[in-house]
Amino acid sequence: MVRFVCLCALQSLRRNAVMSGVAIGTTAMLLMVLSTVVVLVDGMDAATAAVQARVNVVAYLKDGTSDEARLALQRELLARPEVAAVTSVTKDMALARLRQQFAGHPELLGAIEGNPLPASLDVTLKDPRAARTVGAELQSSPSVSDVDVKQEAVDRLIAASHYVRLCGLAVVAGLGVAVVFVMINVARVAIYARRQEIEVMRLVGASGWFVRWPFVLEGMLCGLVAALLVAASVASGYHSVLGGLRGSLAFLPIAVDPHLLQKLLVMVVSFGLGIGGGGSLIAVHRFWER
Amino acid sequence: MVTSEPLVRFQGVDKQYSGGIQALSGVSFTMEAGDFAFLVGPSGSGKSTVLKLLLRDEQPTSGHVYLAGASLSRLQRGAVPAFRRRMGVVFQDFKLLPRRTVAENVAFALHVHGTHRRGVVRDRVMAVLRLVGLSGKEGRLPDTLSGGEQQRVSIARALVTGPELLLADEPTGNLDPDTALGIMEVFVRINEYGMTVLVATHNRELVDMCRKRVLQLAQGRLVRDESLGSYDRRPATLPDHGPLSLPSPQPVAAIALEGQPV
Repeated sequence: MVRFVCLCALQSLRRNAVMSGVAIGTTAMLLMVLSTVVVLVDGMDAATAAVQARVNVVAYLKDGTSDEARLALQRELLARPEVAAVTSVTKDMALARLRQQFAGHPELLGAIEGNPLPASLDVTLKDPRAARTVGAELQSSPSVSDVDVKQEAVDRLIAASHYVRLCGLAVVAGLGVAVVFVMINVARVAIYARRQEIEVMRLVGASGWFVRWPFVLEGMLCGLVAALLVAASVASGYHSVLGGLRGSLAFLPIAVDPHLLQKLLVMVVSFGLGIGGGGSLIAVHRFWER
Repeated sequence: MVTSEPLVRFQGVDKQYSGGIQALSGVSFTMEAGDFAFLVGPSGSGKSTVLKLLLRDEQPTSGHVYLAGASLSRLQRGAVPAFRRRMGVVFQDFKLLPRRTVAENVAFALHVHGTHRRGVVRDRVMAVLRLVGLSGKEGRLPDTLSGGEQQRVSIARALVTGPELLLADEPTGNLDPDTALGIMEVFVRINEYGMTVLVATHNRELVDMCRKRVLQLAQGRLVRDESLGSYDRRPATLPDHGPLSLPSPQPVAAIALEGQPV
């Protein structure tokens, strides 16, 4: 029976090639948008986590601050319960760090004359939420010229990630509804094309599922083809796009989940099969119940 | 299966469609296994309704329909397909699948019934095509066949699954008289093998020529239940209410001799 059902599904796909193509195209479009949203949100979440794990507060020291004053401030900070680590960065170390970060952009490094960078104390907190409190207190220290509270950047990243997630979900949901309607109508066309066969099936005693399975399978096949097309595009484009982003935005900690591609593939195939099979099931169920 | 119950039993069946159309009124009759009966009457007399009730395509407004002792009214919706597999159905418009060959059309019923093994399907299809006189045409498409041949394919499809009852709704309606006679001969031959056959038709000449049991409907009522000729197996089970005010049927041969159109 499996062979018979598969043959019926493949025959129907062939006979309704144009409509099947429409179904595959619209489903692929939806899955591509979904994949893009997932990659974006995942990247932003990873960047947020990376920034949070790094230095939370940077206290820039005034030029001429003595070593004793710097060490005293460092000891004071380490004594605080919310501070995990304090790293002292000299002016020379700051310049070396900058040269390393922009090693691929000699035109930027060539514009720097002397060493304009201040020495600093890089503070890593156990709880990033204490950043503002620590930062405010450091601001009042006589040795500190400026304080950079990274939490603001993290907050902006979180807000942006939340916004992208919401918008992405809204677009995916809207597109998803539209694609399901497309799948339903494609299935209806297929049912209409095979109405004679279905009528004979009904009269010779075919069960409801014997009639439904070829259409559901046809829908799932459309969804699977769309999913595989999208998966191939994402897999081939993912690493090259990521490499380009890292080169252009070297100052951003763009972290990558090594399992993201596998997760994406599973998600895309599952959605493709679900949308294709689900749309066909709805169409054929309504037809059969009539 | 040996049973004291008749294979088909209509018991006081009324059928009213929406809009108040009374299709059947108080119809009662039985058919034993191996019977052959014609269901005759003009268009609108209720013949198709009787077949639909037997196929469980419709349910009676009142009364009961039984198949082998089982009431069709009590059949759950999910059990209807399995129930329909106990019957074979032949239609006036053949209902063949145009893109499948003769063998594939016949085999289709076997696939629906769950028979998929190639050897079994092939053997059964060839056997039933031999029975209906279509050996050698299994690879043809329906539109390359004559009307009579297409109807034979339809009969073969109805028979291939070994049903208990064969229903035919105006099987000769689209055929010329000679072809129609050939089709009726197939039905008679099938019945001789033990198949129970119920043929709905308004071809009175063919019915009288075959000399089988006749159930006559008029405006939804069973007005005649009469066994005719030497093929009769059972005495009439209902009183003969007498024919309607229609010309008495004459044998086909007699009409031809008198030069009247058939």
